[in-house]
Amino acid sequence: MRLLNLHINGFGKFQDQDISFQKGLNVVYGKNEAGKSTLHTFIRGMLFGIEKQRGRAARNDLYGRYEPWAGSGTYEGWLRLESLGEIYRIERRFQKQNKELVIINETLGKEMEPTGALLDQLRCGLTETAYNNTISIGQLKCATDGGMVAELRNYIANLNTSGSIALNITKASTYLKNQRRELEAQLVPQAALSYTTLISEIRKLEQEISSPAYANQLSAYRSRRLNLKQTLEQKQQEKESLLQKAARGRQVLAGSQFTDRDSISSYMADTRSLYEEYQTSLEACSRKTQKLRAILAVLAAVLCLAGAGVLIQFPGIASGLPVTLPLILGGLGSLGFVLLILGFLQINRGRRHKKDLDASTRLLQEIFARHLGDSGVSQEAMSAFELRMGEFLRLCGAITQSEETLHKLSDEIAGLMKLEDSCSDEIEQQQRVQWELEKKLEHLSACKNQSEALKRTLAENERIQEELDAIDLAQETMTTLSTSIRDSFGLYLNKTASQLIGGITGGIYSSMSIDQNLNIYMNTPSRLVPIEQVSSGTMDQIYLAVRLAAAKLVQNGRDSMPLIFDDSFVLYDDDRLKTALKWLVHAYSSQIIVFTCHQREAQLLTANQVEYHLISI
Amino acid sequence: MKFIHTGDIHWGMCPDADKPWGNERARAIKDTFRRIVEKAKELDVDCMFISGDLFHRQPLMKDLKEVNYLFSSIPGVKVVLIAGNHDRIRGNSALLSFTWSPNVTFLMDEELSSVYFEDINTEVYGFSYHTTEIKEPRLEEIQVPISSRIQILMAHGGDASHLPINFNSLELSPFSYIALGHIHKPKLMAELKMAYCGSPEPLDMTETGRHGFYTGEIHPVTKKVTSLEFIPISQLQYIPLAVNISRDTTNMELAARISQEIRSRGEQNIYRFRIKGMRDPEIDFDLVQLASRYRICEILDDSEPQYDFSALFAEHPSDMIGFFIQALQKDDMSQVEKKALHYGVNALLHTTDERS
Repeated sequence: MRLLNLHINGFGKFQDQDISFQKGLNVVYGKNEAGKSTLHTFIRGMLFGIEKQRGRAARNDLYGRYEPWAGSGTYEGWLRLESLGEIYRIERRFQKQNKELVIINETLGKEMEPTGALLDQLRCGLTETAYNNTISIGQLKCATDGGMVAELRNYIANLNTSGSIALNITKASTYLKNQRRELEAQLVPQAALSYTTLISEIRKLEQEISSPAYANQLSAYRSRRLNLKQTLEQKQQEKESLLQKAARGRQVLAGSQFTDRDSISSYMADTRSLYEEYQTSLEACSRKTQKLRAILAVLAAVLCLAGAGVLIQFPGIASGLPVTLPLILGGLGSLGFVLLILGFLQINRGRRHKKDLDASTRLLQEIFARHLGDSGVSQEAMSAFELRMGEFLRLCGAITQSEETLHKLSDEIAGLMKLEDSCSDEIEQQQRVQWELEKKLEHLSACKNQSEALKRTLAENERIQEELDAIDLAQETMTTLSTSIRDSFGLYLNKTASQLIGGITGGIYSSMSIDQNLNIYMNTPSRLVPIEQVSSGTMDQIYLAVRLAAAKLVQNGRDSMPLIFDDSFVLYDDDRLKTALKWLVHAYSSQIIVFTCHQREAQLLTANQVEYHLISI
Repeated sequence: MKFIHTGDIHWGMCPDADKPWGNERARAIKDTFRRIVEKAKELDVDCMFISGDLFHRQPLMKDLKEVNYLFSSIPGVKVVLIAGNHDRIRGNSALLSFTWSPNVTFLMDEELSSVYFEDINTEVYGFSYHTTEIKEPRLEEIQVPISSRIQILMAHGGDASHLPINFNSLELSPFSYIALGHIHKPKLMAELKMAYCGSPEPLDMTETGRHGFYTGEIHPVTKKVTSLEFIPISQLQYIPLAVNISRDTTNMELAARISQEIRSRGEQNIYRFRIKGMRDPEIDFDLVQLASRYRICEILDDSEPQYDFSALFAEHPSDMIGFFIQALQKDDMSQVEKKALHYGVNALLHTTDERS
């Protein structure tokens, strides 16, 4: 891009002023207060516009500062320039109530829409800030050396960080950090932890309650207990009836004064022997011979004794006999005596038999009377009695059997009762287990409710986390961008500025280097000189080199803006100025405009036969 | 034969537990069920079908007692229940040893079983969940004998993992009415022949719309449903609303608009707002105060700060703002990237001096 000419119709001190520029080097000479800065600002204003600030800021803004002094009512002008081979005229009215911007393509002869793209083309892609910081070159403002170092370093630092001084990502970064902190405070950090704890608790509980120990078997146990109860009742009844039966049997036995089988058997045996005895006695008694024998014996004895008595009376009877009387007497007497004794003996025996018979009869009668109700002693009675006894024996057997059954039943009942007890215990146990289960279920339910509530908190946390992620991403993007810009920019700056410095200083310094800590070193062929040690003039040269490097960097490449120097060479000595100017014309092919309040630039250029265009205001 | 069809009561659930009205909602669930039981008496119905998920979780003895008390208060109504996926019958369930009031029939079997009521000539079929999921379409296989009885089927499910249902084939089945449960939104199907009763109370903020139960009548001779009516009974509704904002919308204005919407629709209802549109980048909506005044379970702020990124980019082509926009902006941005762009540009704009 190249400035052709401009017309000022009310801007600061200028009213109706025309200035034209040439290709290559233009030197605008004016004394102090001649309006060099005004002209400079006008060019900028034409390119970027001048906005009236609002409120307080308006007191000392550009708009106010360059309002036309003459109060002509106009605050406007136009600027002609050549861009990419075509000539444009920018007409601007700055008045705040009546702003206007018209761009006319003079080559095509038509008015152009002042779009961003068009303006961008005309400005070679520079923003106003970039314009200020690169191609529009003043001198370092600080008068002191230390201050100049700091200012230079600051300039490089800002360039380095973002490529444009206007954007300070440290501030933006702090701003984001604050936002992040505020958001972070809304997080419920322990939610996730509590949630996991809850979930594991729930899992544990679920596992616990699904264990077979908690299976509800109450109804099974209950029906079992019911069954047992019924069986038990039945058995009890059975036992009761058996007991009664046995008791009745016992009673019958006891009524007959029997205790058990043995007593019956022995009783029966006794009776049987008694009966036998009776029979023998009866037989004995019934034998007539014995009685007869006794009677005969007594009779014989009487006869013998009577014979003996007769003989004594009548000894004669016996005279005929061969034996003597006394002998006969004696024989008869003793015979009679013996017979008598025999007869008595016989009688005695018969009596004894009788007595025996009586006794056994009486006993038998008693027995029969008791058991048969009939006291008659006979074979039939005896058989009946034996039958009766047999019955008793059977009864006895039955009793024993029932008693055995009873015993078994009792055992069974005891077993059943035990079972019932255990069943009841089991039911109790089940109820306890169920109660325990209910507690656990309640707890589980509470846990689940809690976890559901927590889920919401987690979702909210997630939402906040998303915001945090977004901030982090923004932060990260910014840092990456700034690093990559700094890296590329810093490297480029270093390289370009290094190349330039040799030319500007006429070979005094071959190159410069800027390290990460923004320490600037100048390389001479023999040593490295820290910037603190160079003169203020050199510092201005370095400044120029860096700016030029930056200017090359920020322009869009297709086209380049004119370089504008505003009293930049004040601190240069004549030699340096000569070198710098000569080098500049050589190094920068585009238009160069040098504003100066000294005449030495023009003189030097003339003396060195460098082509230039002088504009005096 | 008149009946009430309900289900998905979720007795014992505490919706919105983290919200101030959580306990009230838990009470409302029980209260509304009580009112349904009262309605059964009032409408003089013969049957009450509860198609599963009467309980939110495995019922405790006390829950069973409470519910049984309610059932015992309508001895003339035959109550038939099945268990759903939430209250499925487990080996340790108190249900297994519970004695219901005589008018209650719980079809607890895992296989299809039925109960026949002679006086109303009605046979009710159904089966209960014993597992958390039923993935087979078991209703496809069921066979019921053709009879002169009114046949009712109760089933719980309808999604892929809870008893997948082929509604078309079910429509051709010989049942007079199919009482479905599991879907919480009431839905009528196949011309009164089947219905999802829906939960009587909405159970979370996604369950919008009316909630209640069905009551109907089946003709004893034709065995067809002659009427089926939805009776809303829920104490409140969840209402989702979208609020459109513009660059001119202020915090106060938004609050006033939301308040007005809530007041016109009833303050007892629970609301969910979604804020849409482009907002002034300088405004951050702060609606906490609003949430404390009304029942608002969620305010989703989907509004975006109205930055004109292309204009911004044109204005800052070669500085951090431009680079930043260039680095992040693309056609299909994720939510996080969008937000990152907003955050970054906002921060950069806030910390940029006007002129340096």
